[in-house]
Amino acid sequence: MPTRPNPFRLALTHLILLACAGLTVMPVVLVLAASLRKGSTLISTRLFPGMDELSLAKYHELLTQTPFLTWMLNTVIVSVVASLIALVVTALAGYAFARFRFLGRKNGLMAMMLLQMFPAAMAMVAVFRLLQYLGAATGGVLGLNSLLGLSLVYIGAGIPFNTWMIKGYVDALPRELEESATIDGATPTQTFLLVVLPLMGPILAVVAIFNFIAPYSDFIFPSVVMFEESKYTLAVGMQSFISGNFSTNWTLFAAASILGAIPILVLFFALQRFLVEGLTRGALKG
Amino acid sequence: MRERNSGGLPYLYLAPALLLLALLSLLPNLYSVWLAFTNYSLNHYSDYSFVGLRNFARILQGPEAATFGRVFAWTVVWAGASVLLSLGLGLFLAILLNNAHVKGRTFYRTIFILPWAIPAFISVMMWQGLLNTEFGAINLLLANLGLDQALATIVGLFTNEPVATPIAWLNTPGWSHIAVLAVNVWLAFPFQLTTCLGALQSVPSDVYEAASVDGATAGLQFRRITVPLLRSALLPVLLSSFAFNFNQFAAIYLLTAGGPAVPGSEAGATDILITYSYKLAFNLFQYGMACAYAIFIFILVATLSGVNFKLTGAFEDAN
Repeated sequence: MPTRPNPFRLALTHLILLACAGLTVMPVVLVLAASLRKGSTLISTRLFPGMDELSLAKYHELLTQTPFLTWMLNTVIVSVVASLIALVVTALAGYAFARFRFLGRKNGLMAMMLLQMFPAAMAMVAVFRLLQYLGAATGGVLGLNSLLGLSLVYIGAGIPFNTWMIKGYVDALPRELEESATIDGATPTQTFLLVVLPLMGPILAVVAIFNFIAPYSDFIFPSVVMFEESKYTLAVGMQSFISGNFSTNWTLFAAASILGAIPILVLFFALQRFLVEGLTRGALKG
Repeated sequence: MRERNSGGLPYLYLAPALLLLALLSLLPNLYSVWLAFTNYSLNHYSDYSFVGLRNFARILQGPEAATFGRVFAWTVVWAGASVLLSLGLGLFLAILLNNAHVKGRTFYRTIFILPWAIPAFISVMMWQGLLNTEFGAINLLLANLGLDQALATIVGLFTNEPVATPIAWLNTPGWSHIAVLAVNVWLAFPFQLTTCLGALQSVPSDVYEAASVDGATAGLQFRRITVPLLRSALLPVLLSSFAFNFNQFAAIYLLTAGGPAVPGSEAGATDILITYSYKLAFNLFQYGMACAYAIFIFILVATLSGVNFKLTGAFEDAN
């Protein structure tokens, strides 16, 4: 590592970094600019609206004259339900794999790893058929066009990865507290609920956020499973803005992009350190 | 490690996860394997039956074989090029940022992570509008900068036909391949950058200091310390990113919908296996064929994951 920086190389470094940063933010800036226009079309010879053209009219139109808020609510319901159920079942399973020794433990962990390899989208036809059956069996509570049914799709796909993450975290927790709780007469379930669970906070937050972001960001399953406009998630709803005629809805779509991205953007940056660690730790083990 | 006789309790803790896993993951996957061996389609919606390997035979020989070959080849090129380009860019930027003399590194990192922090479906649809031939901001920007003619002339040197402006990014076979790759690199490089930066920072600086003291030049240090370290750290990332891009549905489907159309084939010029399987199922209602295609995807992804597990020793964690 050079002890004294070469000023030319340093300047060149900044030049390259700035150019790349510019290209990175460019699409977002262009869309943000489009969302602040009054007009509805893509057609304009000016890239950025002048000060006199700036307006929040598109945001107003989006919130009052389109089902955007319904789609947002649908998306949040699906994501929260998927996230909470995944959290409860994988916290239990991850803890069991980390702390108990039992017949089938190793095979169970291996099976989880193998199941993780099946791309969720591979089963889209089967998921569609199963939801059809479930809908008939439950009178529509869980079937096609049901928010609850859609959230089920995500829970299954995420269980193996999340269980492994939680197991890894609990493996690294010291056992002394649990042992002294046991000596003090706590039952295993009390030990789990009162001693270990509070210590699992950080990893549970990560799992909850992963399992919120994944359904929120998915397009493929809601597009297969949701047919009614009132049941669309953001991904499918926003696509319906542009699939007809992009040029007439561009500014409206731009406003939807900004509002739709904000919740995930905020979560991501607030918890960036945890998320990045969680995602890259496994990858960097080698 | 103290062994604990836990009786039935672990099974109770595992029951909800295993039950949901069996119902929501195992069952759909097995069911979709079964459907790949049936003629389930719009014509056989309620009376479909087992047809053995017929779907696979149809994919590998006969008129569908050419489509399969083309889509398969593009899927591999797509995944390979996406990974190499995004990793290349990510690594390059990580090396620039891993220099303590560069000020504002947190600022740059925050900017570079932006594409990762926006839901991919939103970004890809944004790009679709920006790349619109007549009205898109990209062509407008190029025209304002006077770059559209230059770009078309340069590209025209490599193709035999003159290139029209404004550039039809999403509607011509050549440009659409470039456009989907460029957008996917934009989507994927933040992850690669973060991974590379993590790997670079995991080398204690005294390793480099010791090398300097021993007279190693910066170039030698890079070749002898940085590269070997990155190779072992990045190979698993490379493989799992490859598998991920195999199934990068949104980046293709929401940008070009697999198009532009290719005459004589149901699959468009930018269709990859997963988007074509989706089309077969939900546009053409050939469910059995769609599932057969999905099995090819699975075999490829499973092979990659298997190699990856072996490399990282992930199976040993089960102990």
